[in-house]
Amino acid sequence: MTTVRITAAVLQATADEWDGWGEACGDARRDLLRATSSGFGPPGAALDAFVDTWAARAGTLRDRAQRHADDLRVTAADFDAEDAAAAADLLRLLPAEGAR
Amino acid sequence: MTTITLPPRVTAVPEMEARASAVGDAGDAVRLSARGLEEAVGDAVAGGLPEGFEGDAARAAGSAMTAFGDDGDAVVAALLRGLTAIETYAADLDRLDARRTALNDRASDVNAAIDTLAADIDGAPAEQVPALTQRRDALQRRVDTWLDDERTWDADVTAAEERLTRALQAVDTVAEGEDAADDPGRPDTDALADRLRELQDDAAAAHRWWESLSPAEREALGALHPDLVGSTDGVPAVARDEANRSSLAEDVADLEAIPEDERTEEQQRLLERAQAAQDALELGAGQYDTAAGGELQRLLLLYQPDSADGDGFAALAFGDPDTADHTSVSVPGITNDGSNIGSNGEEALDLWRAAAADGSSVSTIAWIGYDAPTTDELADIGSVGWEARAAAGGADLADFIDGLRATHEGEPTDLTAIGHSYGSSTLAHALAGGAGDDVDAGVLLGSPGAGLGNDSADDLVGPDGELYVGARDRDPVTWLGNADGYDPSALAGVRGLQWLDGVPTLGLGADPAHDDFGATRIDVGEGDVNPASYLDNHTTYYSGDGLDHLGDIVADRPLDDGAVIDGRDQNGAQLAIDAGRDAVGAGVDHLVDEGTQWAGDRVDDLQDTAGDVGDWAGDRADDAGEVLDGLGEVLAPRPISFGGLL
Repeated sequence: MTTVRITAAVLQATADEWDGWGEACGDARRDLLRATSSGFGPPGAALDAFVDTWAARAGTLRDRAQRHADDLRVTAADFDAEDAAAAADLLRLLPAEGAR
Repeated sequence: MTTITLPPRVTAVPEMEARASAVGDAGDAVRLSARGLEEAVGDAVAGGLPEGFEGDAARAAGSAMTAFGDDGDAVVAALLRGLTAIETYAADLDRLDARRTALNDRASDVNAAIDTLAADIDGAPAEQVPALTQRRDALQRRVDTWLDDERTWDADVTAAEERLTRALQAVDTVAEGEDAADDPGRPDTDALADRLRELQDDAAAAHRWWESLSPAEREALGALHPDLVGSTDGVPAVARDEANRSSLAEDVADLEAIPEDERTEEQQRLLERAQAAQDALELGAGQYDTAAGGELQRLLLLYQPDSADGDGFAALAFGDPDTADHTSVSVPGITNDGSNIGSNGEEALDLWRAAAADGSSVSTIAWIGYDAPTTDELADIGSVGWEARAAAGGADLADFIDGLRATHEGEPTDLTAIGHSYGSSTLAHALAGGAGDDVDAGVLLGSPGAGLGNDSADDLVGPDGELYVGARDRDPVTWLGNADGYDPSALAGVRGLQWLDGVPTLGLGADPAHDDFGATRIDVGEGDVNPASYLDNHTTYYSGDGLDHLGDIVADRPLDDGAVIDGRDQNGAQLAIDAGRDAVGAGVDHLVDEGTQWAGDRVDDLQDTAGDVGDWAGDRADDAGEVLDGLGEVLAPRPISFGGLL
């Protein structure tokens, strides 16, 4: 049986953290792309390939972190919705006020 | 007829396609990127799971974090490998370009010799043929040697290019990055940083340890711990500069990204200090350094914008202190903090120009690395420890000087330390605390005193060192130091009072310009007679003839005739009285504003008192109290505090 114990607030906070990591990866990618091969001479092509590979990888990490953050937010929202539905169900089971 | 065949002229080596500066810029970008990624993935791995998150989903979340951390770490490992190769290439290019310049100088000489020989051959009689043939043969050997050297140089260029290409190609796939991350020989930067922290109080040991590191370890440490590398005395200047520029670039990017109206006060202060350092690094751009054979290097030796409760530290060098024959460190006085690195840098640049004017190999450094009292703190000067900041700053300065000694390459540099105003007292503490044996010359400018307990030049510099003093008689800050025989007991209650040998003193120890102190006093002028110019008199020592003398001292050249003048034989009160008399004598009392009207009033009083010279001497202490009290009014007029000039 799958078990989950966490609050929506913690999920939201974790999502914010992933957002931050994603942003940092994006900044790192931007910084790396400033490494241009102008003035490198013959090794310039090797530098371009190096930068391309790792800028792309940093971009992938950025996207992955942002997707993860989005998923966590969706889950947090689902938790909130399920909490509200469960509360409504519970209220329906309780005797109406004044019926005692 | 005899024919002498001349050697072929040699062709100058063209500039390389690659430029060290461009490669260095790319290295900076890679370094910044590696640091940003390392912080992100490090946080991800270290952050762990939120408290209270359990079960299968928690395991899945943990797995996601681990995978993210591992993948990011592979990028960091690859970037650091690439960075090491790029920086090695940049250093190679520097050396190769220097060799190219030397080759071309030799080419010019060889070609000139060929031209001379051709002229001598033309029309020469037959009896000169043997001698001319000998000259031709010798010249041919020079040409052959040059061509061999040129081929070697060319091969070395190709080798450097190929080394970089191979190194970058070795880490340009994701799989290769993962291998680099798992490499057991990968530098453990956290352990390296811990070790460097342990060595921070011993510049010589820090330097020995730094030299024992591999290039990869140095690059990784500098990239991932720039604050530590950039601030540790004993780390070479170029490495400190790279690390500090990396921190600076990151700060500017991060802080400028925050909208101005959303920045906190602290963020705004940080940004101002970062921008000040950034602007200061533009000083001297395009300046040619004859001794170095290229553009003047500007090195950011210290960048700690949040030190000293946000006041900030910064140090900027013009010329590389690790290779220069002559090095100077300039220390400013109170109210200076990291935001003032621009104005201090301008003075250091002016000094560099004066010292290097004859082509000398020089590095001048503006050093703001101590917690000087600020204007706000001066409002309650007694509580900040009038002398304590100078003493603490002196210890930090001594460490910095230790670092300069440790990192210098080859023969020891000729080292001059210069302190201005309160910074001269800070310097005096550094010299008395041991740095006096490390400097070849110390210079105290506009000094309020040489530090309590320092009674003579011998207390500050070693037997081989020289202590110089620049003090304008109309610089009121220089009236504050004690002179032998002066009893300042009448000053009780004056703000800033402290005790020296059981008697109170307003200044920071003995006046180093006094003849009894034994320093060599250089002519820096007397200063403008108008009391309204006293502030300028105090703040413009790096100008005019004074600047020329400082340049000669820094470059260890003989001083001009007349540059050395007699030490003072007056105390501060007498100097103040003389200055007041001069002001009245020059008819400038009507020029002074309300806040400086004291000068005329005091001189009137004192002239009455001084009517009888004998009586005047007896009342001197009381007069001194009044004069210095009036001085306090001048130096602490609305809103400048008493110490506002120091």
